[in-house]
Amino acid sequence: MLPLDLDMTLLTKKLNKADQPAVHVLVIGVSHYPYLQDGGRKLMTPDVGLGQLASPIASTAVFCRWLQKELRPRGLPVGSIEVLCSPGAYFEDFAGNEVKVSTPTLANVRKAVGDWSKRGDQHEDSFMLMYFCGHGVSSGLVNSLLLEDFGKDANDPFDTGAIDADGLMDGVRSKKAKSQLFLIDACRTVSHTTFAQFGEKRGASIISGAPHAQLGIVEQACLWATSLGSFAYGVKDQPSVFMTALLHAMRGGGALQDPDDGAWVIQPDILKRAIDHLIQRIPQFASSGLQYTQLDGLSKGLAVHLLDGDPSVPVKVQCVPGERIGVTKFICSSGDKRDVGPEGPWHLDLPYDQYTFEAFSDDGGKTINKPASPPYSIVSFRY
Amino acid sequence: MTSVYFSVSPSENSRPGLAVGEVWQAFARSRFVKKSFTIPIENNRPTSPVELEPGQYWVQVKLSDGRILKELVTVPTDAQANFTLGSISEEFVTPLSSALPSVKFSTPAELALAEREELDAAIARFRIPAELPALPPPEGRRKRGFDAAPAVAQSYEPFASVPRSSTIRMSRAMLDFSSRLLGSDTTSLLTTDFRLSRLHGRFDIWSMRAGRAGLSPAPKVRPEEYFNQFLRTEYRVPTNATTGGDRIFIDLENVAFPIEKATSIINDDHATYRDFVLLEEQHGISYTLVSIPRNLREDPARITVKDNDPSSDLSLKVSIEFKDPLSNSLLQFLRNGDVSSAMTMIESSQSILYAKFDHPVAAAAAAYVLIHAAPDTLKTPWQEWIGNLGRYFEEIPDAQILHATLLLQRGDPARWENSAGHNSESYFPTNESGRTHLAASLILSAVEKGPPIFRMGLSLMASNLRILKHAELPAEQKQSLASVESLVTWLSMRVDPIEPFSIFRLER
Repeated sequence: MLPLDLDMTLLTKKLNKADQPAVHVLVIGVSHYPYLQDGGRKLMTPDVGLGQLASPIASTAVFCRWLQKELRPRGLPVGSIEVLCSPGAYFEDFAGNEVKVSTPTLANVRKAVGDWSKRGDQHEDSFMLMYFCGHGVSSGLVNSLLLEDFGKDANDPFDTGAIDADGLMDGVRSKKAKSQLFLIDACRTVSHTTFAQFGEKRGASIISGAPHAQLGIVEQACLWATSLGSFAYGVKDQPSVFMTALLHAMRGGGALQDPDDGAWVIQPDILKRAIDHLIQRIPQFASSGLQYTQLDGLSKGLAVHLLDGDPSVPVKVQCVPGERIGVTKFICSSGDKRDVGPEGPWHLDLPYDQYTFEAFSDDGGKTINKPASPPYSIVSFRY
Repeated sequence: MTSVYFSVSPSENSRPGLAVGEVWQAFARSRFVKKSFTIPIENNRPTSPVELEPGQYWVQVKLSDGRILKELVTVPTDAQANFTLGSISEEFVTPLSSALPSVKFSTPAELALAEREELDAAIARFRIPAELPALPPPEGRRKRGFDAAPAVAQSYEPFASVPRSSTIRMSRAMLDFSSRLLGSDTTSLLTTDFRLSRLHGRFDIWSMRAGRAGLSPAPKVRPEEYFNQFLRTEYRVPTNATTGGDRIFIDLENVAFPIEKATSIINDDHATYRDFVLLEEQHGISYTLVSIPRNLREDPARITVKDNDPSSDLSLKVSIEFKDPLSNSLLQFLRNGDVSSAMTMIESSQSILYAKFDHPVAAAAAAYVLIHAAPDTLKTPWQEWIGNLGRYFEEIPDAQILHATLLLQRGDPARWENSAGHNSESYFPTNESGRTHLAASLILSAVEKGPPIFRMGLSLMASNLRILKHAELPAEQKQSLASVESLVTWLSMRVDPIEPFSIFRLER
């Protein structure tokens, strides 16, 4: 099936003034790779051992819904949300009409990135946010993000179907917007062979370089879904592990309190720690080292999202040694409780406050007073 | 007001250095004040006091190894209070790919006498000859137009701990011996045997030279030949190696260069500010090439070698650290990609850069932090100091890369005037064309000095080359830059992306 090549789609209404500061978002989700395994087109040779992905469509869709309905930028309107995604997800615009978005080919991505960066270049107080979900390959310092037409030109797949992630971020840094955040939800498995087979190319930088004066002015950070050399995990037809944890952390685990007015804002440093904790809630990931995020660049001044009220904090209640957990009943002063039985830690989300936790077992009762504070809190009953 | 002292108990996993901390009022609903401070991580040495009103406060400390300590403390209504901080979590800490235990930073002089005697006896048993010839370069790697590597041992400045006469070839027998020397539990210390070679030489990267009548040089860097000059090898036994856990520490004490005048350094053909160490797996398919900074004063560096994670592309995990805790803390923040935290050491970074003649390599590390400083926020002419670093320490490629970055990616050098009121036109031309041309020259000069000592230099090189790609430059220069861009990509794909020093995996 040929991908549809429509104009990329904005999900937002145009701003009254194009040059006013605003948040501009670009979302790219690549599930379908026609030239990789099971893609339906001629498999590229040599085969790089990659196939279709299950999570990007769902991750892109749920993130767009969150952006449209819940994102509250600090002091800025949402200026634009632009989407490129493999077919299969439902998107609606600001008026509630269903829209068909463009597919993430290199040509469409070039145009989308060009328009997105042009909007970000209108005002220094704007915030540029980008999310990518799809295949990624790495070697050393080089990180390439694969697009839908990767492999169409089997002689030069990287320059014709991949993004040089660092080159892209470099180019965007030259734009006026002082706040820039990239969320890259892709594997970072080291695959030097993949690069070596095709002339060790990085991929397209997308934005042409030119001298600028933005180093030291722009605060740019990149939150990778996983650390170098590791996989980023997805769930079939569900949002990825990273996206699920990201949206959960946006409720409060990733929040930092602004000293100027006491407001809670989601900030990348704290967001990263909350996401890592939330991923560990998944039993298969607990203490396995399978997926930990990585935050690069300057992020201290980035305010991603303003909370409406106090943060909701992930809390983990456990016993040490862990074997006792199955025979212990827990009660929290919030009114939450868990009876004897479950073998794993007790996970709950509590509003930011001080709490009293009690544990009851055959050995008697214990009490711990502990605050629930971002990025997360851990309550350990020791025996 | 209560004078509050914070300290951190150094655990076996903490290194001497600095941690950055913040304290703020807990459960505030409106405006409050955050106070910042630094804590030396050294035997419970406390901070300077932080003055706080009685009440509840959050204290958060970030260690240079990436760990976060966060606690809720209650400041009493006393004249003074002391808090020693624990962990945010008893169990869950974001793992570092190679957190290193703290082992006392020993020098050969501090090795136990018994170990020394055992070493001497072992050497006598193996009857190691005083000198062995160096290995010739591997077949097929001779560069056209250059002499073949000599077959005799090269002379060079020896390590302080190893007498000049004991140039020793590290054979497999020696590896077994050195394992026994270190202790019976170290024979299986590493699953990958390695040998340690010291390399030196100059980078001469262009495959053709000017001089052939009627032809202008066709500059072309061939990445796979970039390190060929360095395969004239000499081998050393790591006689001052110590163990700690599952890894081997090799202390390097460098001999000071005599510094009379800077020009004498520049004119010395063999003057480099670093050594290269080659770790060659006996049964592996690759080398690990480590660039060791050589300082102007005796300032030991340490290499730590351990087996890498089986899933990694690299068999050996190599780290380098300075003895100086301040420089080391800076490096560790950079190692974790935590530029934000490294920026909290911006004051220290200025001092380190200013003291470039004492420690030029650390000065380059400090410069990597300073280039991210917001314009007009620092009072020192640090941009000029970076220019000076490149001028007086030409053999450090990082300095020229940083200078080029200032020219291409920052606006403030063009507006800077030195204390005498003169704009340093030679460092920072006032027009864009002049800056572009100078930056191009600096990049081409830097690549001839070898790969950057710090891997951040490769990222900046790539970034600067992307900008120069579309600049108005002479065709020949653009051709050279295109060739360099391929080389930088080649190096970038082979460098350890975590360690702040450049450590490369090279195919055999």
